[in-house]
Amino acid sequence: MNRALTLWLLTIVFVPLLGLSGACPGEHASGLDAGPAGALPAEPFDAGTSPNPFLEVSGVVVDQNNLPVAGAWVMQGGRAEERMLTQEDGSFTFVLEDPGWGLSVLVAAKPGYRAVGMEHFMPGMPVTLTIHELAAPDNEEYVYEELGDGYDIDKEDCTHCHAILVREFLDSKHAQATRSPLLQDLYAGVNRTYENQTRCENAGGVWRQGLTPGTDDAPQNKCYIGGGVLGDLNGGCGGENQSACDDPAIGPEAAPTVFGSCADCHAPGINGVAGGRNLHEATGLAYEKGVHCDVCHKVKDIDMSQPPGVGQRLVMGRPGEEGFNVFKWRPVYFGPLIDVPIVAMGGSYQPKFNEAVFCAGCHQQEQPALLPNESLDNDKWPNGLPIHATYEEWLDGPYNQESTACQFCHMPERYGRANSTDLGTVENQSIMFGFVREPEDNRQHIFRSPLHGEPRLIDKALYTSINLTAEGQSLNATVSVSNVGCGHAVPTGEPMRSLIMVVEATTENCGPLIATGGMTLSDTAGMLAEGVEGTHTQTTESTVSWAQGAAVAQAGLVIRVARATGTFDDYDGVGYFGEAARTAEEKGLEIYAPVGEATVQSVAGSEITLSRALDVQEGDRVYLGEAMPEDFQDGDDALHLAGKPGYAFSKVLVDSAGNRHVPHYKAVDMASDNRIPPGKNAVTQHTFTRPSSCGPGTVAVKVYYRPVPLSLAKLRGWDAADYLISESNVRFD
Amino acid sequence: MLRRASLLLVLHAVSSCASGEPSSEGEAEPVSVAPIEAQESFLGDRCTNTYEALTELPSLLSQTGLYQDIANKEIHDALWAFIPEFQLWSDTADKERWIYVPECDLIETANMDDWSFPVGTRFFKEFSVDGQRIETRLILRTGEGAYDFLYGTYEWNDDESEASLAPSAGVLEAKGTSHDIPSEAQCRRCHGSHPERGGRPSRALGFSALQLNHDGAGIHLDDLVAQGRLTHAPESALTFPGNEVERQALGYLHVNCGVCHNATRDGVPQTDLNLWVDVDETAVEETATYLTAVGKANKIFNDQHVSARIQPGQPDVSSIIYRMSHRGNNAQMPPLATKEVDEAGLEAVKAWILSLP
Repeated sequence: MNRALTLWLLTIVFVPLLGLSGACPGEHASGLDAGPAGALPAEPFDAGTSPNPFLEVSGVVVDQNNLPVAGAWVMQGGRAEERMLTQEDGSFTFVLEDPGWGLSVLVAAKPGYRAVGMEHFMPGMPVTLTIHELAAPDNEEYVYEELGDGYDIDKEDCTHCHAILVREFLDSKHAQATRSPLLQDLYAGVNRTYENQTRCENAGGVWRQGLTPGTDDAPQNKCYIGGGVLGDLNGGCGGENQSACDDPAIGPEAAPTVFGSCADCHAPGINGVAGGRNLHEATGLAYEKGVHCDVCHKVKDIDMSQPPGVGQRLVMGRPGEEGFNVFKWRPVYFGPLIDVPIVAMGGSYQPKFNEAVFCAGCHQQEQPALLPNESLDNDKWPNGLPIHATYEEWLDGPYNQESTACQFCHMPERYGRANSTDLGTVENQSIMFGFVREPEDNRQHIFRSPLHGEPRLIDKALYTSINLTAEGQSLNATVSVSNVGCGHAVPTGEPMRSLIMVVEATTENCGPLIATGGMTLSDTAGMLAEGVEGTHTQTTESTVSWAQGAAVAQAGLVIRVARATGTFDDYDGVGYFGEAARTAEEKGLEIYAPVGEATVQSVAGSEITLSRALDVQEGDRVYLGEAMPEDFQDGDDALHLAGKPGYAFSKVLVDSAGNRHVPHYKAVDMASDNRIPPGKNAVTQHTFTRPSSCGPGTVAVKVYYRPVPLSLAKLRGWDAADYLISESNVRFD
Repeated sequence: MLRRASLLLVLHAVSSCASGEPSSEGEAEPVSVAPIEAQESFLGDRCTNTYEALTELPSLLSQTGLYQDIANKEIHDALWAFIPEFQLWSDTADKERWIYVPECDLIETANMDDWSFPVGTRFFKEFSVDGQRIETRLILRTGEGAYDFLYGTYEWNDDESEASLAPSAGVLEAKGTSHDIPSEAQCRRCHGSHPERGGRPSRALGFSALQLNHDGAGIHLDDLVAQGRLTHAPESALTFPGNEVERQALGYLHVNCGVCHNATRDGVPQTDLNLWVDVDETAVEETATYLTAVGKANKIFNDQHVSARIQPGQPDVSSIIYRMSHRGNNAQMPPLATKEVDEAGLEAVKAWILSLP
């Protein structure tokens, strides 16, 4: 059936039957709250087309018990900025204006209630507007509604009226929040690329029966390796000679009981108890559609005093009031507009939907130590370890203003459509078709992520410049990387993300120059093996004796050496590391200067032969990694680049054993956080030696966004790529 | 839009504005303006619009009403040619501009900084590179709403006998030149109605009171007043403030930067920088440009080479100069519609900064 026709029939037939224009079922057979005793005018006055453009309406706002509601807002739909409050007795007198097109709609609303509207009036006749309170607590029996596929508009789901919004959402990361392989693998502790027992065990894993993600109890053999949220947080499963924690056949005595709060934000749409759930309880809609329409628009409030996630900071308001007709429960959808009076929506005003704090419901997370018997340093982290601090990064930056909240970039304004419905126009504005909205009240639901769009969102984030000076044979490059286009730190969110900045100098006749001073990429940039000269490695001229390195080294790889300088980077940090009282040492990033780089020629036993001699001293850090080809392109597979001239920007999480770059559920401390805050810049130094025989050339800086760390990607079998997001070049003569 | 039939009613309303009461335009405060008392005589009792309002962009330029004879490049008599005193830098392209304002309507000028044009108004700007016509841009006002505008551009054929509506995605290096025909989104980015903001409510950025008050070619502010095409006339002479060095810099920043960096709803919101000169800013030190830029720390763009938005006497460490000097990266300002630095404009702004104590 044509959708316009469907909606028209809804309007004239179905809507009155359901009471969709604001009436209480049973109160008025027509569904119209049009005065006492349900008396309806034979020929309703239509303010929109009447010769009289003004209509004064008097009446009373009452609740579901017919009791007057004081302090309720009364307004004209689409013109909510000019609204008034009801008196103590619920009474009001309001003057409707001719909207020019469509119908004049009188709306009553109040936070905690469902808005109601009325669009046909008999001049002079008092009206009663009934708003239904959200009196019941969050209803765990409520079943989240489907959103549809964004195309089939004949079903009674979100797509029916909001196909465009649904399509936008389905392409977003919010839709993938639960089924993300990265999340699921980390949670279960598996590597899905090891598809049989032999490969799994050769890699050091254990081949066990587990759960097929997204199913209730479908078993699947998987390769468990490197720990995981469930196995590490629960003692009765996941260990040696134990069942996998997600084994559908696991007994109740061994079943996991601690879930790490993952599902609270990654799978908020699990029906039933809100919060504290096992991610593996997410099936169907909750699994496939992640942070979907109905769960987001069931957020009644944000309580920043609570931990993040559904049922806590995200205060849920699933309806518990008895429904009517096809509705088991009286509908309610919370949103940023006060004048959404369609009863099928049950629009309830929550202005936080248009504020940054709404996003803080999940994008701000401080956590305790999650592993058993571990704890945080409470003096250092009195509010918990700030795993995600995107909201605070925004609060502390120049974008902290109403007009540039998260929604400004991630839910851009929409132009060219009257409102969020597919068929709403200026001409047909009404209860059913909605009202004309300002662009900032009609946002795209794309939840734009860093790599989304053309150009990508993150491509606008940074500006990089080089200040180059020459002193004798030394070329000294001062590099500035500024966060000029992002309202939070870059990168942000998931703490595994990093920036990898590579600095190179090349002359036309001598090729690449050797870096002899300045700064290098830390272990954040990844390495195939890492050692300390004198402890793990013994280097003599061009030979390195290194058992761990030799085990993975092969010809063509490179050895990079970096030396501690004793100087710490006094960077503009984030959160704890950005506090004025913090010393450079406390910021945790000692500067390592480049010593040299050589190519692996051959490997014999624990001996690695290099292409040239390296001047390695005791205590130097020795990294094994890949060479960076000249034709490395945006989006190519990430490379292990630790020790290379450049710098890395990341939040470094540390576990109780001192291991760095651990997944956040293992973290008990943070060693450093030099991600670039909004409006700030990072400055690094790099020195190259140019022999007198070498002529003009270029210093080039390239900054890559690395969403997934190589070590974890390798463990889990994930793809890892580097995305070029900023670059700068300076010529020298 | 203000139909002539409503004029008396509006004049009545305007007189209340002049007495300090709230204007019907909301934020509009008619500083330095006065209602025009007797416009009826100019319009006469009867008038006919040459063109009806369009609701969609024609497919050919010859259908837009710009040319009376496109073969001979004869502009229709109903249009006015105009030249803003200060012009947006468009690399080396030559530009010509025309406007059609429906004859039976007035330009609402109660807010002298943001004229509101009647439905049916058409703005044209034609771009030529090295004597070759490349494109002719068109903005149509289609309705009363703030966003009821259509944006399109027409790419000329090789013999310049006709131009066709260009794809909404734009055309890179059109007709073998370095000139890019903008996408529709890029049109909106400068003229308004873009998610990242930019533009001003009038949508017409160069056809304004300050910009038309000069002695050059094209229609002038005085002409519009004399012809009775404005609802309000300025009470005083309007011009960019300051000596010639200051005027050149303020005017340049006004049109090249202020179209986005302004305090209207359409201005980019992430910074408080305002480089648009309002008509009531008659002293340099009172301009928003001065107040929000001179000696002000950079809020977002903090690079190693700059120390303030405008560092008095030190253009080399002023971020405005730095960003004007860059192309092809995230320092570039303006961020679109130019690939080459405007050396003359740069010098004009540098000269002002050098003159600042």
